[in-house]
Amino acid sequence: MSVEFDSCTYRYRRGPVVLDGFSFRFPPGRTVLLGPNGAGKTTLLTLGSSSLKPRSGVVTFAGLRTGRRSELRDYRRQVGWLPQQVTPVAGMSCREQVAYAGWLKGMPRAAAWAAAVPALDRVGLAKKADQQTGSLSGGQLRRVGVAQTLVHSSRLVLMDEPTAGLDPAQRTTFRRVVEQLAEVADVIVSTHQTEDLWEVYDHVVVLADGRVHFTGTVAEFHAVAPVDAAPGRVAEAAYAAVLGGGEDW
Amino acid sequence: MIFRLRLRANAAVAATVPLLGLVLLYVLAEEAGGGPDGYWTAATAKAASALMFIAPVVAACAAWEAGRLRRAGVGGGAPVRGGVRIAAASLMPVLLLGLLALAVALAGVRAQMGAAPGWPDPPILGAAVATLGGYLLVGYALGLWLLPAASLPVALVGGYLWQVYPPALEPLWLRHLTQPARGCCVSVDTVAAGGVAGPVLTAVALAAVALAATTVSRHAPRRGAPAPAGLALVVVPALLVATAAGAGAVRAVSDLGPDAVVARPPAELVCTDAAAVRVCVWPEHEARLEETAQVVREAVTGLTPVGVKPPDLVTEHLGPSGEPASDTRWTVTVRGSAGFTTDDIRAGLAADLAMSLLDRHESPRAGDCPADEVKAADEGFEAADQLLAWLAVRAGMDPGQAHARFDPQLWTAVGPVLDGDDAAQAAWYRSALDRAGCAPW
Repeated sequence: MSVEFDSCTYRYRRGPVVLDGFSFRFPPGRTVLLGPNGAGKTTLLTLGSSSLKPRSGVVTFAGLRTGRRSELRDYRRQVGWLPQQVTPVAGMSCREQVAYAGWLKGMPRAAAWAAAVPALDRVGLAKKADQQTGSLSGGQLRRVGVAQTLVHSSRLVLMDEPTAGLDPAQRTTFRRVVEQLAEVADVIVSTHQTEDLWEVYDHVVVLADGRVHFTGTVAEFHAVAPVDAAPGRVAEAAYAAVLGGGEDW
Repeated sequence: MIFRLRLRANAAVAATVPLLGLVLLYVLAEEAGGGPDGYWTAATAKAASALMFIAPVVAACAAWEAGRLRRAGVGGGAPVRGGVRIAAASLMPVLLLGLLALAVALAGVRAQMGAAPGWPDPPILGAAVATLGGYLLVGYALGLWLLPAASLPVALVGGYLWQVYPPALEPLWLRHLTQPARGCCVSVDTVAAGGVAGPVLTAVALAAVALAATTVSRHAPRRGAPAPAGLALVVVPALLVATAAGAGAVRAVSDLGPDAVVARPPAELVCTDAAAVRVCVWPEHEARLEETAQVVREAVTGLTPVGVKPPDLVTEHLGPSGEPASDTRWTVTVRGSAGFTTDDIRAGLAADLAMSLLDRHESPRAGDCPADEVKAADEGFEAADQLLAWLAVRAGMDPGQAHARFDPQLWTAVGPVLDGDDAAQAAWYRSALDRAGCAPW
């Protein structure tokens, strides 16, 4: 069971068509979504989160469609969503913001409040639970965003560039979070960082120009790399090979 | 936990102490100038007038809360909760602040009233709450559409100006759209229906416009992006409701003058019989009914022998057109406060009676007044003042007290009259009426 896009088309107002008849079923487990800027990764994940509605086509997860109002509430209950931009809610502490996110996702207030600190603990921010989110660094705020996706029991977690702005130690924490998450949910992460694919993800999807250019396991992805690729740069080489050398991107 | 999630960071919490302080200062300062005298309708109207502070603050807090939701991108987080629920969670503390401030205003007025039978006036309270609701939703819509740097001042200053500026403008009825029961009431009045319906309908119109603005705002937190048809289903009826309610509001208040009042129904009076005269006062003055009846008894006893016909009824009710008294009906003014003495009741009775007698007395023939108009007016007014002082003493006022209340020069003429017998005083009374008739009443 994973999220499926069927003939989805999306264009922003007064903008180009980003996805045109896009059909793809993400594999279950931990999936990394790679692709150059403007490839449509954010749009795809936002459609998956149901924050955007495709102009045409169907997005389905666990038999629930985002286009049906009667199913949208249940769909959203299943999906955790970390957008690229995590914004502090003015005046709220970390715990309050995470609990508020849980409440927005349909949790009862008491349950959301109780679940907030464990969620912050998983991203290493338990000690800052009472600190105002407005005073956090960019990396810390991003971790609060991750905690917001953990606070409710999602079965699908979508994260758009969650490691941007994280230092190496924080990225290690994030890897642990994804590993733990994968035990209970499918995880799709868009990123530009390819160095730790092997350690974190099961599958790789490469998106460019609104089309899937590669889908397979990490091993299959690495196999695309030229044989003379330097050790430690295999993923980069594979990525370039999938996109035809990279000069067009 | 509820405090942490709902209240702690809410703008209403920060605004509570300043707003309640301001409201208390306002109602207590206002009371020093003359309170509602135990009359709940007047007290409720006075409390509702604090909306000029409460409503703009509520609108500004709502704008701030909407701005928080907008900046936090709550709608983009794929919430399970619907937009109404999310907005309600943020706005409920703001509404509660408004209601609390209204309650504090009412308590402040109540604390100044002394004995006050009955309860706050439900229609005025309902209209005040509706006004708060309108401001709340307008503030919320402003917060979604404008950045906080703009939405807060617009809500706060604009809201305040809408409360205080229309009373300075023509037409006079414009003021009654802004808050309920404006200019209401002294004890003989009650609030006009238009003074309640007008602001309620205005609030409905504002709320409908705010709903339409919220619906089309792309910053509004909601479960899913609305389809154009869905938008139209909300926006078109909302605008129709706003138009109809706005037109209804204008229609409801267009007959009102500066104050949204009508004569208080006499059915509210509480009465007793003082010999052959029925004496009636408003229920908030019931504790002074017997005292008033005694004043009436003494007045009738003192005035009947000198030719003033006793009435059938002495009442606080002025009648539908505000006429002060008639041949068979005198009016009296009573106040609940201890500072309003028995002699004040007596003096008011005499003053109303004097005006009534002058109104009903036939004008003297042209040859009986001085030819010079100024001189005729001077003499007429002087005779009226003498008549009033004489009536007060005949009605039972202690002469010493009367000397303190009236112009000392009057007693040069009135003093000797009061020393005469009843027949002489009756003759003087008739001549005084004739002389007073020379003034242009």
